[in-house]
Amino acid sequence: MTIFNFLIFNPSGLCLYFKEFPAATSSKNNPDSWKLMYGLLHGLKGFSQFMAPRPSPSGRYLRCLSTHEYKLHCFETATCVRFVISTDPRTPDLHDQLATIYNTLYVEYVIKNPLYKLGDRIDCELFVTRLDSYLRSLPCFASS
Amino acid sequence: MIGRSERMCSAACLELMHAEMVSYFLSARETRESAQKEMERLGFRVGQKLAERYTKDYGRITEPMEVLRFIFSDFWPVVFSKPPDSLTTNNNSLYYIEDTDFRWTSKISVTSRTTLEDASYFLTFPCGIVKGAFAALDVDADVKADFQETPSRCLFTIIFKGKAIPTR
Amino acid sequence: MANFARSGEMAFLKADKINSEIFSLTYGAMVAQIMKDYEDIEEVNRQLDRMGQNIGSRLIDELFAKTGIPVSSNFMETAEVIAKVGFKMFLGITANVVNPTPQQYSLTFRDNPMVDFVELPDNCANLRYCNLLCGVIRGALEQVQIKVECHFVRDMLRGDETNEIQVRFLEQVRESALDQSFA
Repeated sequence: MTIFNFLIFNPSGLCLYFKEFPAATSSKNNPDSWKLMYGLLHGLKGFSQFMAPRPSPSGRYLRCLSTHEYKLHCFETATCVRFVISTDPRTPDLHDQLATIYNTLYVEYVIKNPLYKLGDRIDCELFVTRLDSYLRSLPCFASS
Repeated sequence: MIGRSERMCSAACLELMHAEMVSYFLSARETRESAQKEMERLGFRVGQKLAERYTKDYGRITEPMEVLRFIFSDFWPVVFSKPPDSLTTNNNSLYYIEDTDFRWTSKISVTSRTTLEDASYFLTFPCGIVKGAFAALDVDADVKADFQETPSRCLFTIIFKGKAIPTR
Repeated sequence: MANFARSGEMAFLKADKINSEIFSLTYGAMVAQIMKDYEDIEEVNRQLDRMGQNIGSRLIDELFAKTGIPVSSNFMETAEVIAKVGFKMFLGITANVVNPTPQQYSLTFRDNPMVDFVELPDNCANLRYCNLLCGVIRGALEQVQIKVECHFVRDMLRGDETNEIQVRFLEQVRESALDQSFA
């Protein structure tokens, strides 16, 4: 199992953070790719809401998108910040892991870092290093 | 246990309010020095009041060394949420309190737009608090605070003014 | 509704906490300084509101992260969340929701750690000492796409028998036009 890349989007669709891992052979490290990905996520959110047989009690709809080649795992906060990770398709759902990243890393080391201005690209040292070691500790990273 | 009320509120409120205070002073004052001076003065008053309240039922502490011990083991853990790590001296009226996970600055990390100097303004108010606490207990001390490489590791230097304190 | 009260209590229990007097003394010192900086008391109120807004826009993520309560962008529902979850987990108190309608509601509370040790000087009749709270609510709701107007209508520091914050709905901000295409 493998992690390809990890992204954070703000509510207006700006990519606040992008990290690519060596397993990703075709790089997504450019604004056009991010725009494309955000557009897809955004459209899928509306679509999954539209298709739902009943309203979701959690208010959340989209969890992941799977193809033969990759799987996109998504977590959207109540404040419309989106955490996205792309892995190989056999990786089990990483929704909870993305929630952990939000709860314990993003809120603590980005939101509570007074030197970080909301809406800026995220380059807070503490967040970046802790995120990296968290992702590397995931079982799905081990074999990548 | 020092005499304090048991009423609690979330640490996040204080952290974020402190951040707003720092940004208020940095933008409202013409120079960074004057912003720092005022934040230290504000912290001084808060530290004074806190120390007065906390020592109300504590009995009299008069010896500077007792005061230092009180600040280190009683005052600090309450005000800064955890006990400091060490208290050392150069045996010449200089004392150092080290806190390797100083809660008021432990979530700060520099970004590409900011430097360690920007982070250092978050030490001014706490520094004033410590100074004010000494003053409330009749010890004339100067207090300086510096980061040790990262904003979470802080070293507070306490300089006793006037006569040197005999150490054991 | 009972769920919200429980979420608030659990979050408060688990949160990193400090003695509230550190908070109230720090806030008091800050307000006093701002009052020295501005002659116009209305400007002081505005500054406090603005600071609160910045705080609220960050505090809201702490609320969702630490409670895991479901996402809601229903204005009326936010009343209970603020009163039972927000007030509780941050200040250790709860507020009551009064007269909720889709356009407006009030939050009332008597107990307030922010005002411990506060005595207002005589020359500040129009000071809204706790105006920071209005800013916090406004800033927090803004992050969940709800724009509101928020102000104190009763204030115990000025002799009223309770504190009352009125929250008025202005508009719901849609994420973008894409949303509408499937709605």
